[in-house]
Amino acid sequence: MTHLPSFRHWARRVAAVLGVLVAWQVAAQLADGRARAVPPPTAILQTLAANWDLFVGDLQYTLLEAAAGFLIAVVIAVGLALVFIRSRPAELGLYNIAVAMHSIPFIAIVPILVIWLGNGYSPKIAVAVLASFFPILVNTTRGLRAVDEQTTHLLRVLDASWWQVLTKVRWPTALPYLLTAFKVGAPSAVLGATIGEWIGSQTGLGYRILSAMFNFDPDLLWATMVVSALAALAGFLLFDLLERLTVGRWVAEAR
Amino acid sequence: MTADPAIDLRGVSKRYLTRGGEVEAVSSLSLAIRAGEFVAVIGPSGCGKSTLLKMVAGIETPTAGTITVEGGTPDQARRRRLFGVVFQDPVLLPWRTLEGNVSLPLEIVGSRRPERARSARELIELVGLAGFEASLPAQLSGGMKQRAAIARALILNPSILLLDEPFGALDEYTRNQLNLELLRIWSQSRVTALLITHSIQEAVLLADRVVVLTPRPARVAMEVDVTLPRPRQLAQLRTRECFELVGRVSAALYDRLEREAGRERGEPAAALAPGHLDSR
Ligand SMILES: Nc1ncnc2c1ncn2[C@@H]1O[C@H](COP(=O)(O)OP(=O)(O)O)[C@@H](O)[C@H]1O
Ligand SMILES: [Mg+2]
Repeated sequence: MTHLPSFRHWARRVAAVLGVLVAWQVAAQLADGRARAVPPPTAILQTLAANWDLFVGDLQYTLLEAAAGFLIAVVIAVGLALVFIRSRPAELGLYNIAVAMHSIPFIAIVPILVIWLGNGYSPKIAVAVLASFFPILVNTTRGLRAVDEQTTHLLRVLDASWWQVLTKVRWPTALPYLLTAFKVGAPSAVLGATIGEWIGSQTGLGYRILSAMFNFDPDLLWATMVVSALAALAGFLLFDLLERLTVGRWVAEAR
Repeated sequence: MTADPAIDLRGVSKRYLTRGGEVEAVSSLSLAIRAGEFVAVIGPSGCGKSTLLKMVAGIETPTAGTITVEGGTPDQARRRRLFGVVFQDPVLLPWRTLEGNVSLPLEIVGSRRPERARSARELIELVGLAGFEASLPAQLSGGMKQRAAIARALILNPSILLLDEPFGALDEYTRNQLNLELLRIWSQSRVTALLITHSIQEAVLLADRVVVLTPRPARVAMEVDVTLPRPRQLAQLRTRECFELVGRVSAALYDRLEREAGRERGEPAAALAPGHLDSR
């Protein structure tokens, strides 16, 4: 995982994506307008270019909400994970609540959040938090617990304090788990923010999706989907890169 | 020598509560270890050796009996940081350099950085790893990692060294090499040493006394004083005296196994083994 993929590896990936796009293009042209819901890639690209300013505005809005939601989720999840490893009863009580919250369909909670928090940024940020915090919580808790038995014994013999164990051993042990969680959580936050914009918004990618749908503009809908997907992917790649640059090196070598 | 023993176990038992019921790991075991003595404990796998060591180190508590370590409880001894421990796995932190790993105990007791660096370098030199201070554990061989673990165990100047099958995962050559290193280090510092091993040869080569434990629950089956003169050398392993000692330890260790095998063949147990061993 730490080794840079070879050129052949990349060539294959690019070829696979291009193959799908070409097949799609051909199929859409053969259908010749009868399947207007699935425009050819070139049409999507044209729409993207034509509405570039619109998308940049939407992106700014959505990414801001996603980033804010993600940060809040990280703070809550990591804080809660620390409480969990400190206190078993707290974990038993709070974990079920976390699972329940994670199981609520976001789409159902958006109207409630809008009623609560109004039309501004807050409800969108709240959905982004809900969408991303659970994987971070689960992974961080696991990571903080991943210290092996003999290391624990060593630290006990050294009479290390809880804080020392946390900072010198548990936290570094948890870091790879944390970065994995971020790779899952960041795209989820983008998705959450998008869904949060479905109600009570005048801008943002989620709003753009809805308005394209109601105006029956499949080209715009597809173009927005592409932008959303790229935004989510960017979140993933950011933490993937961070992982390679930091923990990737010694994690791969250690086992 | 009437001084109090450094480690004194009296009638120590340990029961674990597991899902499958109670497991008795150690049963009314008594053992006294003098200050500066090197004692090797040998016994069948799973008999309770690690449990014994953990109780001495104050990280498990006995269900019955008492353990005294240098005049106090094991827990007090642990808090006074009297112990240095080495386990079968080197348990080095993979993100720390060799020097960072060796100086971890000093960080925990709050030493200053220059002092940590100085002590760590000294210890690294002592265990023969000079030049590798900046290496990560992944770059070290198994033997080198175990040397690092020994250096880390010694850095707080412990008065008691607890070794739980420290070389069990190493090949025989490296193992003997490290045994010699351990002998050299021990004879310089003269700490009290409690070594758990399943190698009879290792026990005889290193220890003043070999304690043979019974299969679970562990109790003392036999103690063998190792009369080989010090300083010890590998060549002593080929002496007649050493053969005899290895034979006595082996007889005690395999006593039950041999008697069970004899019973299967229908031979009277008494004909095979001397009756002084507890075979309950
Ligand atoms: N924490 C524990 N909980 C339950 N049973 C344990 C625990 N630790 C050890 N045991 C059991 O006690 C017995 C002795 O274990 P141990 O002391 O590790 O043996 P040894 O080190 O001699 O191989 C084994 O049967 C083991 O399964
Ligand atoms: Mg063991």
